[in-house]
Amino acid sequence: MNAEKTTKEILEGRSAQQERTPLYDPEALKKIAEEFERWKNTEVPEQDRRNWKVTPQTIVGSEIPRELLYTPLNNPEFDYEEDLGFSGKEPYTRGIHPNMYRGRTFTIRQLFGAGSPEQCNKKIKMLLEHGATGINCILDLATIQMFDSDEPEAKGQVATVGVPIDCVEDMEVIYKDIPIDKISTSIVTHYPRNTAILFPMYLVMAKRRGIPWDKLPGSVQNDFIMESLVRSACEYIPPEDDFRIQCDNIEFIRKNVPQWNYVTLNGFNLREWGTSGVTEMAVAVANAIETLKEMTRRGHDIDWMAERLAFFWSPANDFFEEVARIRAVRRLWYKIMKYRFGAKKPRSMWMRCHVQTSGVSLTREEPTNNIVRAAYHALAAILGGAQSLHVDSFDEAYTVPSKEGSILSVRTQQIIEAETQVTQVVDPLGGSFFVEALTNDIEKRILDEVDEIERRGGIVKVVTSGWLHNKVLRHIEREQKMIANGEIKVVGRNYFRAPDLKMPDVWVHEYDENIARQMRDKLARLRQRRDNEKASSCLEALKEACKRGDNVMEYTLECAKADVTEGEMRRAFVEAFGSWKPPIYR
Amino acid sequence: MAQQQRKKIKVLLAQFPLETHSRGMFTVAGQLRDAGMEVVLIGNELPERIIETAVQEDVDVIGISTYCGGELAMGSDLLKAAEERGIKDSTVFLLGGIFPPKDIPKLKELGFSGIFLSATKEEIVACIEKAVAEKRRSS
Amino acid sequence: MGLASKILEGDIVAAAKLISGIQDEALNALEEMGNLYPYTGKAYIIGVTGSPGAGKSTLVDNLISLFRKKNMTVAVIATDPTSAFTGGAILGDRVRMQKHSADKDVFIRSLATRGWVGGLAKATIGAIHVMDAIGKDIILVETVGSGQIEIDITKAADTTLLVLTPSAGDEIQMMKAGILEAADIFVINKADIEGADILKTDLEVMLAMKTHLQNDWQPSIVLTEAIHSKGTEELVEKILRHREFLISSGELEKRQKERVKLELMDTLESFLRNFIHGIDKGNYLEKLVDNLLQGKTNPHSATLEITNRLAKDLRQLQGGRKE
Repeated sequence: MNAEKTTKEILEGRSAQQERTPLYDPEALKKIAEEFERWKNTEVPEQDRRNWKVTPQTIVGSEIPRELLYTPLNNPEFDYEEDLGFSGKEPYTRGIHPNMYRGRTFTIRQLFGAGSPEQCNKKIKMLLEHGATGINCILDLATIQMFDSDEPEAKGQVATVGVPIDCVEDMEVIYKDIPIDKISTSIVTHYPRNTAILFPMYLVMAKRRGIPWDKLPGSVQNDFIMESLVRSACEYIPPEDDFRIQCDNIEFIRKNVPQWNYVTLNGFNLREWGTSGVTEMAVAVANAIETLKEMTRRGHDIDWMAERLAFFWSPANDFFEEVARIRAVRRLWYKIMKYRFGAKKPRSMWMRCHVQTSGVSLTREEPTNNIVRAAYHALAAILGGAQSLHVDSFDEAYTVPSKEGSILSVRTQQIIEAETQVTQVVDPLGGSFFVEALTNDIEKRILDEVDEIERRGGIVKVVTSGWLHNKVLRHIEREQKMIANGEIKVVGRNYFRAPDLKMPDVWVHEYDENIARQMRDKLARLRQRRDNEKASSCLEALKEACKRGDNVMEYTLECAKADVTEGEMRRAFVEAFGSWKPPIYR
Repeated sequence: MAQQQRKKIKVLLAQFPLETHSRGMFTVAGQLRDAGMEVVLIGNELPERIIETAVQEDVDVIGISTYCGGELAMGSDLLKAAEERGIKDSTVFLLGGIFPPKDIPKLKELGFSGIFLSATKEEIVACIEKAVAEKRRSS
Repeated sequence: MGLASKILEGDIVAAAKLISGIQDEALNALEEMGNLYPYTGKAYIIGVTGSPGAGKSTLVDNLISLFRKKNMTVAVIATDPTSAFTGGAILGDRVRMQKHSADKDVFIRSLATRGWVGGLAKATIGAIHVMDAIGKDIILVETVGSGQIEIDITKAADTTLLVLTPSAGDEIQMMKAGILEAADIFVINKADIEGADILKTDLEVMLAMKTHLQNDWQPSIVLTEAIHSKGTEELVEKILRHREFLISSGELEKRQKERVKLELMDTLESFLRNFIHGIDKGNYLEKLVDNLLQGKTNPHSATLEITNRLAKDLRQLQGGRKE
């Protein structure tokens, strides 16, 4: 490989030079060590002495060994200022703000979707009337996978899991009379490609309404890991081109829509597919590193670039792992931003994160158990210091969340916030011998996996070669086997299973052919009334821009203005970049 | 005398075009391989093309993995294409994943003989072996 | 109507069934193959071999498109390894060629090796015959691509492509072991990766060191980026030029003759091998083994005894056999 140092090498080099002021008095540690040995050999039962360390097994857990008891001996070099610090100050282990939840409680986001653009508009208005402060608009499957409502692949699935958007006109209907300059709008475009296609439609809609782009608050996901790794699809473009589009989107949005969050790094969806908490974070961090490297290469200032970078995590069953994980990656991110990228502004060094509780950890058996699970997941995330939260409803694992389920999710968060009092103290678990040791351990593991990715050529290369796919598939296979043989205990499924188990119903939005027909008719009319020559030439220009290396969003914007549809832009990307399939099962 | 091998069971695993979840399909693929079957894995594909693939590969079983919905519409297209191509009666059709249980009777009517909302490896393998044996007997 | 007749009329269902029958070594399959054999020998066979990750399947996908543009019909055999432990296999190569599944003139078939080593599946030769008989102009045979030497393909194909990539370091190892001798065209795929030119030069040097007879084909080197369909048109031209060379120099006839001979010997060996293993019936072999253990006989004498018995069996077989 090249002479460039890996992130791990840079950070280790720096910590070697660090001057540390150990908190624990060496004399005290010596005495404790002696006592510890004596206690261990006389008081602790033989069996526990032999199995001092056990490795917990949970769904998508990281299998990090635990000792029976933790003491200062687990962290003898502990330096309060260097390792922990104060909240809102470097190294940010305890939180990115000094007062954390006392100052600003975690945001509760309500996801919704489904139905025609008209129905969606009505729903938004109703939610706003009920006091919602943000809109999270879910797209239907055809739109997410970038197919027009009239393509054969979309048959039977238009408007079933979200709202369909084919063109600017749909955006105009959805957001009609909605004050998009006052409300934070999250358009759940997972992928770089559908971000590049749909977000310009939103911008064109805003412009036509006379709303300047610098007034628009909101976010997109825009993560190439989602598009090239996690999702299954009938058609892909090469990951390196997908990554390039991710960067183009970030660049464009940062420049032109300053209040918009331009990337939310995975995270969550990767882990839901089936991988450990450590890998989840390593992949997101590796993606962030490569993205910032690319941005630097394009000549952008690192602080300007990093200002609105955000992460998306998935707290799961292993309670303390989840708490420690968020703290670990927060400290690690700070170190990476400061020492690897030379960031100057505090904002650049904050690991801002949204979390959604783990869906794959929930079961269809005895669904009310999931209320308990999700509550623990949420609590762990709060104790870890997440900025905003979505709690999965108890039925989310197997059906479209019911109203009851959605309300319970919100109540879960409200109870944590108003009744448990955990939010009154910043980083309440900080200083625990166990939690600090675990945080150190996890930080090291995440960095080791980031290093492995970097040594293999970076995140784009390991996705292209299939290495990362295979890593996840191996994890899934292993986990399935451990659930099947009971090594991973799932209450209600393979551990304490009710003899007369009745499985709850699965409910989906009924497919409404009327909506599909409306969308098809609208497309037919669109293709008649628009200037088809202009649409074609915009698509040609987009393809040329792809090949030339220009920022694609500037060209998809022109396409959107010319009423080009989503499917047409998708096809243009494939024609320009070529078609790719993930190397599976080598 | 040429030795006749026990006829291997060949399975085609696919998903409908917009399906985003592949965990189920990959898991089952590994399980079937471990049970000694040959698994043609094509991922997301349109129903007509799934059938054309099944013809070329001469599979005993077509297994569809579905989590995102649309299985009635696409499933109907699938079985219709199978009939047109003349392989509906000789092929075992399975559907697995997450979908409303109330759709099961309709799916059975369409021609899916094995429908799994959640199943162990043993259950799927047993179902396949039994169904394939029946088809081979009747042919 | 037998499978063979249906296949000659272009019935893909029948063709697919026959290929399965060959894999399962079904008796009727061998008979149908006999009926089909006179109609083979028309197709042009192109072997595609190389390490895993070289991009063979994507390259094949490109080749299909290009041959189709020339109005040629295409068949593909994609090979994947059978698990030695479970006997099962995952056949995932065709996923990269799926866009052709709507084309009636393209026939793609995946084969598991079922224990065969050397890069091809046990049924590959049979499958080639079937696709030949059904009328495909071009048959692309993709080997397992295990990274081991896969010489068998060179005996089965008219033109053999070896697909390399700049990043794989062990290419040179492979070359030292003999595949250099056997490939007709070297394809450096993913040629946009650093090192492509170096690899090309290395190859050219190695090829120059090989002694060529005057009428020999000079192996060509083609750089491609299959994902972007770059260089693949040049590759097709080189393949067609190689084919012209083989025909005009008489090489094609020679190779086909060798191939036929090899198939005959393989079939004979297979028959005899099965025949020999048929001896392990009842207690006959057990008793012999016990005698060996007790020193009552030795392996050489035991073999002579067995061959006598086999000869008797063979005579019986020939006598009672319907021809």
